[in-house]
Amino acid sequence: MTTTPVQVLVTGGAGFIGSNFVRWAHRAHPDWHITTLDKLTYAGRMENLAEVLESPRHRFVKGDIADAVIAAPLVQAAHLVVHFAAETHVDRSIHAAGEFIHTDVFGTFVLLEAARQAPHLRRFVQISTDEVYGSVPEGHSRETDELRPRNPYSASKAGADRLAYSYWATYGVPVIITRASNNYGPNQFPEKVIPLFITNAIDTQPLPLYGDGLNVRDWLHVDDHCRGVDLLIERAENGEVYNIGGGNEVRNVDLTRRILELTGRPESLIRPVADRLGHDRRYALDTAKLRGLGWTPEVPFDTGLAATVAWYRANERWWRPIKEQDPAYRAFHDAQYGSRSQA
Amino acid sequence: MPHDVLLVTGATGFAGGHLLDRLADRAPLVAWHRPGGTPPDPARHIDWMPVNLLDAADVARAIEEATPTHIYHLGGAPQVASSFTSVLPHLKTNVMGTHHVLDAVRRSGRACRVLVVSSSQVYQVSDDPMDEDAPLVPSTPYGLSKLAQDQLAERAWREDGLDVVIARPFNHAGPRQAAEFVVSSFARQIARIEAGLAPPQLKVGNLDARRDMTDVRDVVEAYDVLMRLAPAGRPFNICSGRAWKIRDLLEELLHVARTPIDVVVDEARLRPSDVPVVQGDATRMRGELGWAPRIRVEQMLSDTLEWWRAETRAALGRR
Repeated sequence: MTTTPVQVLVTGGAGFIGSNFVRWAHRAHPDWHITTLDKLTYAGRMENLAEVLESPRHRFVKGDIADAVIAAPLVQAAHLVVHFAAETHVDRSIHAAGEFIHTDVFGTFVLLEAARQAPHLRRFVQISTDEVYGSVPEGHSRETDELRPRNPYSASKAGADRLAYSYWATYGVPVIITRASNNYGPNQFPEKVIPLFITNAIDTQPLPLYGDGLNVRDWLHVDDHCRGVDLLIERAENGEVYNIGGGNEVRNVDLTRRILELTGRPESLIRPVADRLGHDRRYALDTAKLRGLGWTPEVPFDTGLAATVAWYRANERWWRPIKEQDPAYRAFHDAQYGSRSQA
Repeated sequence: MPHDVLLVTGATGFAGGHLLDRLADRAPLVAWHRPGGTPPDPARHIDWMPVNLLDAADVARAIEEATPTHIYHLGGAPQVASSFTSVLPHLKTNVMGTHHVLDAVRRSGRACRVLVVSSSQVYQVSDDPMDEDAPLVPSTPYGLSKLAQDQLAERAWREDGLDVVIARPFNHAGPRQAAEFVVSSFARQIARIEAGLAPPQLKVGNLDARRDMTDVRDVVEAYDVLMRLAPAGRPFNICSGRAWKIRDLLEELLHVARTPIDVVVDEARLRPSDVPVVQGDATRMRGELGWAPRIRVEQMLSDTLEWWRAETRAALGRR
């Protein structure tokens, strides 16, 4: 018996979380035919998709989600849309917010408009972020909590998050919204703290730690995130928001020490730098709603972090050209850390 | 590692000594040696404990006392020609010793990661490079004891949930290796000939065998990487992925020798089941953990010879 293929559009599928999702879903769902739409900005890399590029069940389209000529037909042909595409790095949003508004808000609007005209669409998964809740000094954010984004990145994501909801409330587009905590795992662009610190440690370079290092993040392994999204595609209620959190609250300074242990490097590599502007102190998620559907994180943080260190050790060919040659990376890194060292 | 306590068993052995060099100053370091065995080097900041691996109660007591968070279990009887004539030490020390260590960790109830050092000799003899899924059919008594050790480790992980890491090293050599092993044997003879202590004839066994050789310092780096990063219960070959002909290793050593030397085949040095080729597949260590040997074989050979030259000078000085 042959089943009708499920047409799946993954935006931002060449980026970190998107490519992990594409590879994961391609293995887990033999009946899915996946189209990856990605602009291939600095963080989207074709090599992230090497595993699926030859597959008859996958095709790649290079393009901007904000370009309706390319994006709208893809949305209209889809049964499922999983929308990862976004500008994601807070530090970059502080330097230049415009691209965040363009991609994260306007791009999402273009996709949602197309979704109104999609005859077979069963789900539109809006990948939001826990950062829309803003800093939470104590307790855990629930899906019904007020949104208090505090930087251009989280504000643009909050805009997209609510815009997606409005297309459910107004037009009945089958939208669900996920708010995940900080992801980590293989293929993450080395501007983010975990891969930046791992690759610096491998090269015995300083690890620039913001402020007092006591900021807390709740780390989620990207595989657990993929499993969560997959479960929600199957079981969520349209119009609802779901938190996805690993339950691993770790202070940045402890994370840094752990990375040094795993790479066998001394703590003297830690280099305190001036804090990020408006640096949110703590994010933490209440995940009871998702757990109620049967999801639970499966990757313990220690195991996941060790596996991530192993991946960066074994895949220098992936990250070394980015750190050493990529002009976008160099420009960012120099602007970010060039003048920040504290005496 | 602020709260870690590292324990090395078999710390007076060849790889054990090099591992202590690597781990020293990283965390409190406990080292076990055989009661009545070689007196350890007192200059190092290491907590030495005499422990009898064959005595379950002694092992349990020593683990209670040391409260290790990481155990590098290198203790055991090594592969030498005598394992064909005397099987018991290998079965006892390697198998029972490993059981006692794992059992003591299990009973302690504390979180402790254990690296168990198995061997390439667990694999069936083959002309092809052996990967970790190659058939487990040892052809020597030593290999049999290592297979039991390997399987005890795997079982402790699968059935008891212990955090056990399994290393399968291939041949390794380097400074401080005992003269029973081929590279060290050649290097020692050359050093003695150079010093005028022996006639210029070097005695050899089978020169046509090919072996996958790694410098011991690279091997202990692999142990370190495995302990930090390897997923539990998954065996990893430690090898170069290349088999060198023993004759080529010898010729390289003779090339750096300071006097001309004749090569003489010695029947007593031929082992009963000397297999023609032992070559590992290094893909898993490289692809999953990013480890590959860094020290070139020429360097390993010259460092080994240099060490024997120093030993020989020291022995002469003592006379």
